[in-house]
Amino acid sequence: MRTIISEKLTADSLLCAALDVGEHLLKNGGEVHRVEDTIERICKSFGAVHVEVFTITNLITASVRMADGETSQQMRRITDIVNNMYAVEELNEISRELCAGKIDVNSLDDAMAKIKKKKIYPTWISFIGAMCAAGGFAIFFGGTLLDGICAAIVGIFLTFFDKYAPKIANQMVMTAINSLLSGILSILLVKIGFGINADKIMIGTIMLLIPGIALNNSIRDMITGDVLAGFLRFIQSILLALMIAAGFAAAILLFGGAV
Amino acid sequence: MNYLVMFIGAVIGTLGFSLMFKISRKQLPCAILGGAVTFIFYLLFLRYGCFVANMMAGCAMMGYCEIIARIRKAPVTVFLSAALVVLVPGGALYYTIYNILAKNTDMAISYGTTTAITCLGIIAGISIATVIINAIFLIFNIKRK
Repeated sequence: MRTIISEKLTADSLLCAALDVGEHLLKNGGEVHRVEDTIERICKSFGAVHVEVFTITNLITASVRMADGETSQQMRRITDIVNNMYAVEELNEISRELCAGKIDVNSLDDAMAKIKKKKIYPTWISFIGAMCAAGGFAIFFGGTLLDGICAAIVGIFLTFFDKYAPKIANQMVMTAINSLLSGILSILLVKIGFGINADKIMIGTIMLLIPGIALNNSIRDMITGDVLAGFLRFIQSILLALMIAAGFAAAILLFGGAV
Repeated sequence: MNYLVMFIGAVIGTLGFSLMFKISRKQLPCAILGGAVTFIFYLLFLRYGCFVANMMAGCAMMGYCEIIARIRKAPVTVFLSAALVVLVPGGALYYTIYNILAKNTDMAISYGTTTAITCLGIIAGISIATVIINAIFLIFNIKRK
């Protein structure tokens, strides 16, 4: 049955379908290695004899040659990357079903649309998540319960700002602005006497902003051989960390702390 | 320092990040357990210094994630992203910034070194675990998901 499908399939449409899956994997926080592997597997299982995929943080380029000599080359540019592990899991499942011949390329669009449309958690859960993350880590790094609550408040504010504030600048500058505002809010919460240790509250908030996952993934990419992709993400993470440092430094200086 | 309070903080924090990363409900318990395992290994080896503690925790974390990913048939990233946040050196980074501003050069260098060493330790641990696990799976011929 699979051979019948692959005979009808042109190189262009096959590569397009494979890139759809790959693009969404990368967009939702999948690793470079996984994206390349997925595209290659899908193409090979639908009758491609030669597949080349090259992926970096924000670009996928691939070429494919079918058994009859028909070729296709396409590329995708990825702009913003979010962390959506549910989508990564489901896309992985789809790619496995594709390769096993359980679904065909024609029904792929429906399956993809279903993932895109489905919201695994309602919006308020992301606020709860930010509260738990900031509060939990404020306590983890030695804050009191009140510090944890303050960090949770800053966490809510940060998520709200991130979701609804107009994107007036690029990601780097927005991170610096976010850091500055949450730094100011943390210090204010201590000044009005609600929080106790401004530093612990700020550490809890930093955990929300810090690109720890990206940094780790970049180094894993470099170790597994995708040096270029890893290096780009590495530099991006270091720059983000510097932006966070600058934002919080400005907040501390503004209230005449430290100096 | 009260390790139990730290542990509870770490678990709540991991839960928070798991929700932010939209880890699905059926993988949520395993993802949080990953954070707990990582932190327990960190505590166990803390007396051997920052580097060893982070290395062993990174090693245990990667091992746990690779195994659980195969059991639960989900990508490794799902569990790794949740477990990793426990080791991210947010505190050390903050005190580095603070001491640079306060012109405490010695303290700034000390905390800056801690931040770098923590990162290096995690990477070393992950690399070691990846090599070992790949070798084991290669020998017993268990397929990668």
